[in-house]
Amino acid sequence: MQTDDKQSTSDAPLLDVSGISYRYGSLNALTNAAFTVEPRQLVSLVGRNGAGKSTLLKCIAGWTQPTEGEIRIHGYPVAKNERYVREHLILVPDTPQFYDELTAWEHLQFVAQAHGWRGWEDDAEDLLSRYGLLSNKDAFPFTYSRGMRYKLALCMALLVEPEILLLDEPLGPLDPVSADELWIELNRHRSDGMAILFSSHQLPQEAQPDRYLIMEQGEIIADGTPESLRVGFSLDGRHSLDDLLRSAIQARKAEAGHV
Amino acid sequence: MFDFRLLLLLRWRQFRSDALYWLRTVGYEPDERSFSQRVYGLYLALIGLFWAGSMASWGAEQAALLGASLTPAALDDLLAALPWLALALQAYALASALRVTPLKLSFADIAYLAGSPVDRAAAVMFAYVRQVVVRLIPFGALGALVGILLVTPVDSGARAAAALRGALAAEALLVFTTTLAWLLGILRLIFPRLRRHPWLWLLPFGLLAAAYVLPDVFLWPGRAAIAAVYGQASGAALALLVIAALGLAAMVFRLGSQVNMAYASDESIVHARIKALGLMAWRDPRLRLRIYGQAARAGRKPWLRLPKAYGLWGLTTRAALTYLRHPMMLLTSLLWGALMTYVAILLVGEQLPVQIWIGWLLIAGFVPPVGLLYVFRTDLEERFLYQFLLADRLRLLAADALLPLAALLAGALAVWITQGFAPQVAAVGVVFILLLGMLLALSGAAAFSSRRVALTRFLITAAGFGAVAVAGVNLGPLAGLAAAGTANLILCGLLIEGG
Repeated sequence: MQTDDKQSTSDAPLLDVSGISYRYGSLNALTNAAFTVEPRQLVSLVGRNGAGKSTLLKCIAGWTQPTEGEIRIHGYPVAKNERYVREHLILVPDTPQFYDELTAWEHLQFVAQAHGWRGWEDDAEDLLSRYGLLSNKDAFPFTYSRGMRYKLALCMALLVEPEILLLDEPLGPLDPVSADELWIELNRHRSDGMAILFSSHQLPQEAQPDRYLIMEQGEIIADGTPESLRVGFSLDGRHSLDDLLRSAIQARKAEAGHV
Repeated sequence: MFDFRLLLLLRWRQFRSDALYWLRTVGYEPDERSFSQRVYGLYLALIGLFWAGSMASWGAEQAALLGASLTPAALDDLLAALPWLALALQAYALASALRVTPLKLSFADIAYLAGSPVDRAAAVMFAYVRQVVVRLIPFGALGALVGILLVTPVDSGARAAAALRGALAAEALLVFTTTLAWLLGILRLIFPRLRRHPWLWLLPFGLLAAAYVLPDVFLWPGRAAIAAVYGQASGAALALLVIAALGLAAMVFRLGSQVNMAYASDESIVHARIKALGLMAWRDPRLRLRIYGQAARAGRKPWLRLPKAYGLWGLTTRAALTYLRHPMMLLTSLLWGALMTYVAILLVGEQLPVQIWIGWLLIAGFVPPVGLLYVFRTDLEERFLYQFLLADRLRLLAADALLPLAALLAGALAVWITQGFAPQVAAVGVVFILLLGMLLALSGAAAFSSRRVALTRFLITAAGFGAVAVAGVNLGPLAGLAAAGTANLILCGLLIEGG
């Protein structure tokens, strides 16, 4: 594999985001975001609309170039190793696009065949069946509802099983049954070694990620496990995601002297 | 009557909003009532008038030139063909109205008008009048040009009068045909039984067969228009046309109140989607094609299946399936290759000036066949899908463009080989065509891999094809071939480097 700027070491983090910023004109969409993600981590990116979650995910996937800072996968800079990134990471955006000329099943077939896999059919059928798409597998994705399109994109990503899976608002378009199914699926893949970073405004009941990254106005204002954040923000054991977000924003304002 | 006033106000505001939208795209801010904006508005109006006047004058001159070159026999053939052309256009208009509702609603209309208690006859009449008015100018201009063309061989001094009569005759035909089409289209929206016949829209083309048997009955509108151009139309024929149009319009109005707006909304979705794109629909015609393509495929079972093939061959079969489900893209690539080769042969054979060569080059660079890089461009632009493609861009291009490039080369080679050149010239030409076809695909691919597509495309095409032309003209064909080969190699390197 051809990669530039080789600085990969065995102890390099799987995903290393160091001090990235991104500006849309005069607006700071991201400011000095820095964190690492290791294998077997399920990280939830939480924040209000416009907090910079989608921009951060797009920067990590190499779809957008940050104006400052650097992102590395296994120590390799994302900006200089486009193909390497494609081999190790998949981002499912909030509105994934598909080929107009291929059916849902042909999308999965194409992905599997482009990777040179054989015997992929059972896995593909299993995925489609779990997300309720099996009976519509021969339809074109543009005839699907938004939720169905997201499910198909998830099936494509999960069929590939990348080392790092980025999901932008995965639970928003899904029905509660599919959301629960996705959560189980993500935990299973996490156990197999996958690192998952997803943005979300809600989580299935009783679901807890390994870690939260809380964003506000382009900055990461809190980073920690559910337990450490609960203790840090003095929340009770039955707090919701909303409570966590509100507490983090208030703590940030207090820190900045606004309160 | 209140509904008509209400809709008039709504449509006026929509027209104003659309007009402001387009004026803003050329830098005019009507809300800014400054002196500089008023001067700029005047400047735009004068430029527009000057452009329209220049185009009209140029068009009239070209029509007169063409008319002067017509032999009496050619004029007779043209006079015999024109009524058929008019009938074909009429049949097309009727078929269009029978296929999809002529009452086309935007998403806003679907949300607020279709479900409101506003008189449906008012909605129908506004849409009908708008369509007629919008078409009067282009059809009037076309009629005027045809008038000049027809009268020039007979009496070159009567061009102005013929232009006026031609414009009026074309507009009368347009109003009659549009009104008839609306009436048929509205009947479909009233009687659901008619909508259940999917092939009903083909019926109007039967008029062409009927006209073959009874020409006097079916070709009279076109013949009356031609007679009007020469000032020989009988008053009765024109009066009949006007009375028929008025009668049909009255029926459209009468039946308009019975239209089922749910049917109209259902059939307006494609139109509404395109209208919602605004300026993008004009800037990127692929978006329109995509919406039409989706609408066409939505109700059909997919044709053919994706074969079992792996790796690069898997990419190739996927691209081939895409093109086979889009055969027009292959056909346009084939015709483009044939036409450009034919024009290039003319350019070389007639030793035409360099400006014409530059025109050919610009077309090659900026108007390549849409199908050539359709799959490759989709692969690069849809970032979610691109993640699943592990090939570098050169291999991706090879897989994606193989079939359309083969079609383009087939068209070009067919034209070249049928010219009957000496074997040595023919062989050099074949190699040239292969290398230039590859250069065309590689130039486009390199441009799509860049952030500034248009600029990159211009520079790469000018450099690549320019180098081939300069080397070929000054140093001989072999030097031209060497330049084409080198340009191809450099572009291959750029694509591999790109990822």
